[in-house]
Amino acid sequence: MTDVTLARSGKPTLAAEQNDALARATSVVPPSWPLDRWIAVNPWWGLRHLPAERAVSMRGARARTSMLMPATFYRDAWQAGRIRPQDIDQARAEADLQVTTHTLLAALEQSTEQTGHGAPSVLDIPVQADGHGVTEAVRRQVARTCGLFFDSRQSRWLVSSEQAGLFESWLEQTRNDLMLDRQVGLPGARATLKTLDSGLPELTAWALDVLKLAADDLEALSQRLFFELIGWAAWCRGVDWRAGLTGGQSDLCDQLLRILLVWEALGVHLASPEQRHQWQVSWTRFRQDAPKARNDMLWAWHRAYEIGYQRALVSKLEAPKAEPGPENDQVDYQAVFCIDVRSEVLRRHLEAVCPTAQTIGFAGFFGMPITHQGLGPEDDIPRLPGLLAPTYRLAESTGHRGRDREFIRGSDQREMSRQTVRKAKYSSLSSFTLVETTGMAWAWKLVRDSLNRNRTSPSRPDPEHSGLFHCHGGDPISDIERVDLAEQLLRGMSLTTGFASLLVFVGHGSHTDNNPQQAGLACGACGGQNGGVNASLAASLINNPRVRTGLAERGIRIPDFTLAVAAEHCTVTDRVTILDKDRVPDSYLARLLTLENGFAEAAKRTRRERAAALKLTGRDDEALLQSMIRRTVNWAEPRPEWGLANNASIVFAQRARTRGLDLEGRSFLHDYDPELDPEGKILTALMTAPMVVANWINLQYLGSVAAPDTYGAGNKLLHSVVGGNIGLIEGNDPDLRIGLSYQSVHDGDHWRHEPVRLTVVIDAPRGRIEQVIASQPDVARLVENRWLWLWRFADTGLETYHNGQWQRVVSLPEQAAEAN
Amino acid sequence: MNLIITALSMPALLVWLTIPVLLLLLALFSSWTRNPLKLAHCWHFAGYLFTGSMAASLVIGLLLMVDPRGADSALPELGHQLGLQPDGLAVWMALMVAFIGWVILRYAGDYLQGDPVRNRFLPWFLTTLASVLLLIFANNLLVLAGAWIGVSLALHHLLTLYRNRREARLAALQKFIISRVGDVCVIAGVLLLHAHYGSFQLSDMIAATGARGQGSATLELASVLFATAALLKCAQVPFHGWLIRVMEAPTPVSALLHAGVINLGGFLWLRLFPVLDGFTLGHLMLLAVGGMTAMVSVLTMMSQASVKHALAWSTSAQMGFMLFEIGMGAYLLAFLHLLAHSLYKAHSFLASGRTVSASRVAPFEEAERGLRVAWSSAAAAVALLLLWLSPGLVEGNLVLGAVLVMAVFGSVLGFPEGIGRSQKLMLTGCAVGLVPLYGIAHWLLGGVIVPQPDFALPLIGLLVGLAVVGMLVTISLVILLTPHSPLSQTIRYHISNGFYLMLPFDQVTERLSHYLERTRADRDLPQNATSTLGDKS
Repeated sequence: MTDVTLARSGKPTLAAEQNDALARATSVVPPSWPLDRWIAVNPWWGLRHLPAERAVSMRGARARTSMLMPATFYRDAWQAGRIRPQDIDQARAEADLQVTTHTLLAALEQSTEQTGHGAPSVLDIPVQADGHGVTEAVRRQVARTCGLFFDSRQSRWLVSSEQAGLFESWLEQTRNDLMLDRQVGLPGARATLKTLDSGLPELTAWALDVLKLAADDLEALSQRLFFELIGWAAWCRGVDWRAGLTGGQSDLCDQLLRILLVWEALGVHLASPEQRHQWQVSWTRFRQDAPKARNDMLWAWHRAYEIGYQRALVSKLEAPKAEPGPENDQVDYQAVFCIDVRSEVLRRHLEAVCPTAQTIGFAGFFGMPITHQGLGPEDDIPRLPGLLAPTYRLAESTGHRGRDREFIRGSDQREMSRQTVRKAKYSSLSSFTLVETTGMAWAWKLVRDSLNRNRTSPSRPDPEHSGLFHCHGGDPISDIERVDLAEQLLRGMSLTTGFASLLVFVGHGSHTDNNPQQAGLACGACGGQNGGVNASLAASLINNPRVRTGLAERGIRIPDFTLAVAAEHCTVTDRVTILDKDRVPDSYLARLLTLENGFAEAAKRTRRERAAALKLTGRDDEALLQSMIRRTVNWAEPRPEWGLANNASIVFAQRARTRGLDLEGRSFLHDYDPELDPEGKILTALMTAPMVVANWINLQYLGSVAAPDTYGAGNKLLHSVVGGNIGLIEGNDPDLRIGLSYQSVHDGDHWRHEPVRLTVVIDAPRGRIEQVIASQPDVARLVENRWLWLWRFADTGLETYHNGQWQRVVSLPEQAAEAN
Repeated sequence: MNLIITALSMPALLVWLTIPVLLLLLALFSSWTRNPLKLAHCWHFAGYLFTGSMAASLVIGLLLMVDPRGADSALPELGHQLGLQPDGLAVWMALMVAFIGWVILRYAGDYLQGDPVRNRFLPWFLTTLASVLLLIFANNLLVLAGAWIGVSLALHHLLTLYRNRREARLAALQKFIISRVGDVCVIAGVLLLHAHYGSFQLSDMIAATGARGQGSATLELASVLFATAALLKCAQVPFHGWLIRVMEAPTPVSALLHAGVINLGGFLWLRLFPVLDGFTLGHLMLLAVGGMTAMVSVLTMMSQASVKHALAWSTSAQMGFMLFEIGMGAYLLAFLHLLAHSLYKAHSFLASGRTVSASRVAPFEEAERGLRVAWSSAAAAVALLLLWLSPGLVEGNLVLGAVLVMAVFGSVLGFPEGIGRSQKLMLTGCAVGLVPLYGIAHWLLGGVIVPQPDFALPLIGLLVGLAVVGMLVTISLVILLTPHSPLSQTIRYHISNGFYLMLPFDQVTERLSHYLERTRADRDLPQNATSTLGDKS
């Protein structure tokens, strides 16, 4: 026990250093969101201050965290012509690599990226020479604690509400666990824990004192420990993150780290002299190991792979436009789509089908920072990007307070009955008899689901009179705030003049069954929900006469003949449904019908384009539609659609720049008119919000492909939902999985996502972009550390931003490559 | 008329017998062919076979129904000639198994699309189901024992579809050891029966039961062996760890295991109890171990955070309860439990992805304790009254009566705060309705099981049964009525570990598995054998 007293009288400077080391390790953990509002997360977000090439291989972590694919992947790409000679030439030039293509090719044959063993943990060292370490058992113990602590929906038997924190809860359970030593395989652990002081600071001090590691080593060890349970760490960090968004305080991730450190310290404390010696030897070896060598050659191949995509992108964007799009006065329809890559395909076909239609790209929540309170027992659902906190609450109402109350009461009562039955089903008293007497009825459910007849249409009242309220205080929002919202929306998509008679806000959503990861296919900008609600709200704002008056005062004159309509694009079937059609005035119906026909035809072409990727080739249009509709209700469908797979670029420009181009459903498209934004305010907003979101999505996919064991969710076929909505575990592994499942990025034969970093193309003057980079540190980090590629439209073509300089993007002519 | 019925019997039985054979042939063909088109045909054809099997079972079931009404179908005689035992038990089981097979086949066809294990899944899936069907039909106990072994061998391949996953291999290893011990028990039991009856034919044995002497030690020993086999098959404590681990197999395999295979321990007893000697030592084992497992596992289920793990613990508990019922001689109820559980569990596994949308609504607070207890007690009182009026519903069994009353009590114990009076009345009505529902279920399966005239539950059986129910009620009430009390919170953690009962067998097998892996590593890569230990993959 002298250790403890030593720690207490230890030098405070050391403690501060150690605290910083722990905080640094914590900041590396990516946050995760609950399954029902799951959004894409950049797994390397905590490392954005480091150059991408260096950051992605974390020294301490034992898990693979790299962005690079195995060497064979690049070799195959080379042999298939996906990487061409000029691509590797350019990559070599960029990296200033003085080797021949031959050497580079030889490198592919022998090397796969070296991943180290991570920081040593004493728990890996077996007690006996022929035994095994206890790392796995400790993982299970801590994960079980997390499951019991966080679960509030699955287990029928929940944790006491007075529980203080994760750490206390763990300590309590661990001290009470009579079988702890046997289960973990660390004799004496429980007894030791019982003799130590209880508090988190005291126990941490004890642990750090036992470990006696310098700050750098401590950081490496913390990384290592975090990555043993990265799923639960990410969940804790997500809870902390969301608490921070709303101004709350939460340090669960830190508590988890301290639990793991206490275990490590217990391991050292209880180690035999031989184990301790072996542990110290491992540390010496770890310290002597050079930081993981940068694998320059493999990075060059990766870069060449990206250049291969960019080469095609340049030639498309620089090609002279065959189709300029309709002039302003010819536009009959304006359809605003989400920037989502899936919209690109539908927009392209819609424009081809309806030459007088103009399409606009904007974040799919249409600038409505809302949380949605339905008429029912569900919790409020945030419908905005996960990086923001909602400002307003959209409360559904039928317009009659009495009818609202009646409906809420009715649905509450139904839900309460359902809950009572569910409890009975899982209660230790009634479970046996209920199964015995009612189990036969499940035969019917099996038949219904096997034949995909499980469609349920929830009868909901028409929320025609929904109101917007402040999240704080609950006052209804004022007209000025409504006008503010509408103005931000219109200016954000650079639409302030030239309104068509029909302005359609097309949100998008996904419909699948029995799919815990459905939110990942829905609209990310709407917080993993379907986008119809936000589209309806945007349309009703624009149609509001008082809003129009207010907008006119601010210089945006919407003509009286303009009607805003909402629609939802189902990304599984590509069908577009006009919402609240019964509220469209008769005089618009004919025009709306034409537009609907246009949508139907565009959807048909979109489905044809998507058929190959879904392995549905060789079917006629009707069969294609039917098989895609089946995917929305098939309870056994692991790949209902490809989501945002293969995303690769984002374009901030007017549609005229990209209209008529086949961007293959790989580009996010956001409208931006540099003329309307002289001060760069809009550009700042675009580069700090949609660009960052696109980066998160892009690196989410990249991580799930390049480091599937760490940043991917594993095999969907083995998933089990934890805590109702907390996350997924794979098989019997105790840790949650983050990222996308294998089935979301791989079709069984090939990767469906090309692992490339996002190319951002902006139509804005150099100075304005530089100004944003200078004023926004996160944007600067993403750009300068090569987490994405920044381009701009110049008069002569495309330019790329490189170390503070703008360079012409050249696609090298074919013959340049012949030199090798 | 009679002629037509007799004429129908033979083809129906032939179809019945042919289908498992065809399934096996199809399994062979599908593992041999590499042609994707032919494989696709295999999937389709298997679906037809399951439908055909259901149809044949229905026809045989109808024939069995008209048989006692004067129309002589000659089914049993013809069946015995073919080595089949066409009775109500077999028909219901075959219907259920073929139906589950049909559902899972359809599901897996889509679900495994694009997965490397898809082509390996089909042959072993078909082999498993063909073996199950043969086991159900068999009249010759040697065939039954063979099919029993076949089921677990084929299933072994399904459980290790993902061979690179360590936990999957560990689970399969545990299952393998347990299954082999079970196989030995079944074979030895069958040989003992042969020694006693001088025949391997079930029909001969049943015919000879009248002549069997009381207190035969051979039969007593056989019952112990069969009980051991059933307990091992049904994942009873302390050998239940593998069932929790086999989450490592894809969802359709879990569904198949939990719905179509694990209950065979119960089926074995439903098949063989007529040839055993009343209440045997085996019954007592089932009663004690099954009851224990039911209690431990159902409590553990309640504390699981992962949906599939909760379902697995639930299976262990439900199987325990089924064996408990068998041990008490309530064969009909046990059979009802077997069928109902299979359907329920198959659906629960296949639809487990809906958990997220189903749990969208955060749970409501529970209503005040006194109120809940009052409603529950009222419901239980009505149930008690009904049972007193017609004790036949639970076969006059005190323990089962207690279980039913306990269920009625527990069904409405979860009233949330603010639930309306009409809802409360409705739900209470439903809870009380469980009692007559028992009657309906009885009627539905009536006649399937011919009760043993000389079966009497001895006092020890009654006491064990009451003790199990008493313990379950006591612990449940503590948990359900005072969930936040320190006592509840303390036992919650222990229970979430399943009272550590799987630990000893786990540790033995884990050591074995490490040993096996090291020898394998030594063989493959002698230089760095120990470096992979402790890796999670």
